[in-house]
This record gives sequence, C-alpha cells and structure tokens, in this order.
Amino acid sequence: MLGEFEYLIITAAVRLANNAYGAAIRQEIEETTGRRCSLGALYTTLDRLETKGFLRTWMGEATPLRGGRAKRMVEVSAEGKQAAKEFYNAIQRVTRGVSWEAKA
Amino acid sequence: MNRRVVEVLAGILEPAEREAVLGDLEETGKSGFQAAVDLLGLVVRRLALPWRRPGTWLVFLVAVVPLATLISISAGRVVDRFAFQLWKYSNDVRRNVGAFDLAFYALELACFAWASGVVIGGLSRRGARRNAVLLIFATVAGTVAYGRPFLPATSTTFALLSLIAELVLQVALVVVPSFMGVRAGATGGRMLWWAAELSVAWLAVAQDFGVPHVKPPFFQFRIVVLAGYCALWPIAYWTATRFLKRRATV
Repeated sequence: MLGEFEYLIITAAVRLANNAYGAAIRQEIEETTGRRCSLGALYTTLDRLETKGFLRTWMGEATPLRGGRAKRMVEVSAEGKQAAKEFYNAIQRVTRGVSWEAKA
Repeated sequence: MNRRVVEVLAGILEPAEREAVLGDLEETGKSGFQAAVDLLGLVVRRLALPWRRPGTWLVFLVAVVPLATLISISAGRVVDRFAFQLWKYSNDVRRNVGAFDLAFYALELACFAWASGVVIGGLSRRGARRNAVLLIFATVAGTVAYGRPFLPATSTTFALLSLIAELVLQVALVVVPSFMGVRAGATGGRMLWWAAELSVAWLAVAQDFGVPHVKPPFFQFRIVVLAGYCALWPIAYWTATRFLKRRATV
C-alpha cells in the first residue's frame, strides 16, 4: 500500500494533469495540506514511485521563468491511480464510524 | 557566497536532476540560504540512498577500508623518508643514504594506489565516484594519523617546507593515482581488474606493514621486489590498450 506522502504526490500529480512537474506538485501539496514539502522528500519519493511503476517522469521543455532549465514532468500510471484509490478506500474504511468532533 | 554553495551542492546531483531542481528553485524564487538548505536536504538523501544496499557496505568494508589502511601505511613511510631527506639536506648532511629507497617506495606507493583504485572502480562501477572519494579520504586521514618521526626542528621554514612537501606527495602519489585507477577500473575490462587484483596482492605482501615475519624471506632481496614490478603491468596494459584504441580511431 502507498504511504501518506506518496498518496499526496500522486493526487497532486493527477489534479495538475498536463502541468504536473516538480515545483508545481510541491506548491500544490504545500497549499492543500499547509505543510512544508521538502525538495529532498519530493524528488526521492518521485523516484521511488517511478521504480514501483506508479508514475512516469521525463524531462520537459525549458522555460525562461526557470532560467532556461527543463522541468521534470510527471504522469501517473494506471497502476498508480489504482494504488491511490486503494489507499483512499482504506482510509475511508478505517475512518467509518469514527467522529473527530470533540465531546463536550 | 550562497549561490556558490548552491552550485557546488547541485554539482553532486545527476545532470538531469540538477537541471530540474535548479529550475524549480529559480521558478519558486528561492535563492541564497533557503535554496542551499533545500538542496542540502536532497543531496544528503541522495548520498545516503546507496548505503541502504548491502553491496555498498560490502565494498566499503571488504575493499575500501583495508586498501586505504595499507596505502596509508605505505604513504606514511614515504612521507617519513621524505621528511628525513629534507632534514638531512637542511642540516647539511651530504651522505646520500636513503634517496634510492625513497624513490623506490614512492614508485611502489603510486602503483599501489593506482592498482587499488582499479580494484575498487571495477568492483562497483555505479558507485565508482563515491568509492574514489572514500578511498582517498580514508587514505589521507590514515596517513595523517600514521604519525611523524621525531626530527629535531631546525626552523619554522623547515617545518613549513615539510608540510608542503607532504601535501604534494599525498596528491602526487596517492590522490591522483587512486582517482585515475578508479576511473580506469570503472571503464576497463575484467582482464585489467584481475591484473590489478594480483598487483595489489603482490604489493601488499611485498611490504611487511610493520607486522614482523609476515613478509616471506625471499622478499628481503631487492631484486625479487624489483621483479615484483611486473606487478606494474596493469598500468602498461591499460596504457597500451588506450593507445591502440586512440590509434584505431584516428
């Protein structure tokens, strides 16, 4: 099963679709979770997910905004989407019947 | 300053990753200290990654550490002999005792460092760069820890000269040959690797490394030790194959 951070990366990449690359995924995770996403964690996890066959990465085009440097583009594979779905279902199952409201 | 640190750290990464990461930092407007800290985190993770594989530890413990220890003992001796020669010269001692020994051991050391580099480079081609750095670092640290002979200090200039000479010797006889050896080992064939392996074994036995009765008696004869320089043949083989390859491409 996926880890929490792996799930966040896959979800962010799917949401970003054709615009999924390192900096964009990082920004998406930081904005939605309110937590800092380190460069080291992002890139090593991308590698791990690629090794597992959950996503594919390639070097995209260079843009002036990036100082003429290329992006590392990300595309989630069918296996990656399936793994994310299983993770989400597991979270839903494990949370069923649990209330996070504080009791008075 | 921080920009320079970022460039140095990025230089450790693979070219494609360096491109993507530097682009990300540029795009997000992170620069200076913040970018350096971000990059440091990635570099540390990348450097730590191979150490999760048992093979990395195996090469380190079975090859890098023992070879670095042997080379540093050998280097320590050369440095000692050189310091003694310098001391003699500064004290106007004209008897030319030990100069031949010094040249002999210097050649032996450079060959030993080169052949050890070939062995290590051939053991793990993917980790060749890392192992080269480890071998050189461990060897230089070992030589520093080896200790210096007691020579009455004649002047501050002499002490400074000895230190500079030691550094030059370390670079010329250990750092450069080890690095070149690792490169040759990582790109060379199995034939070269086995030749270097035999050469290292020969040179390791030819020196007694301070352990009495380890060296076989016949090794006491200089001619036998000199004959051991057929152990230099990996270098000859490597040079010849490179020369032939270059001629073939011209």
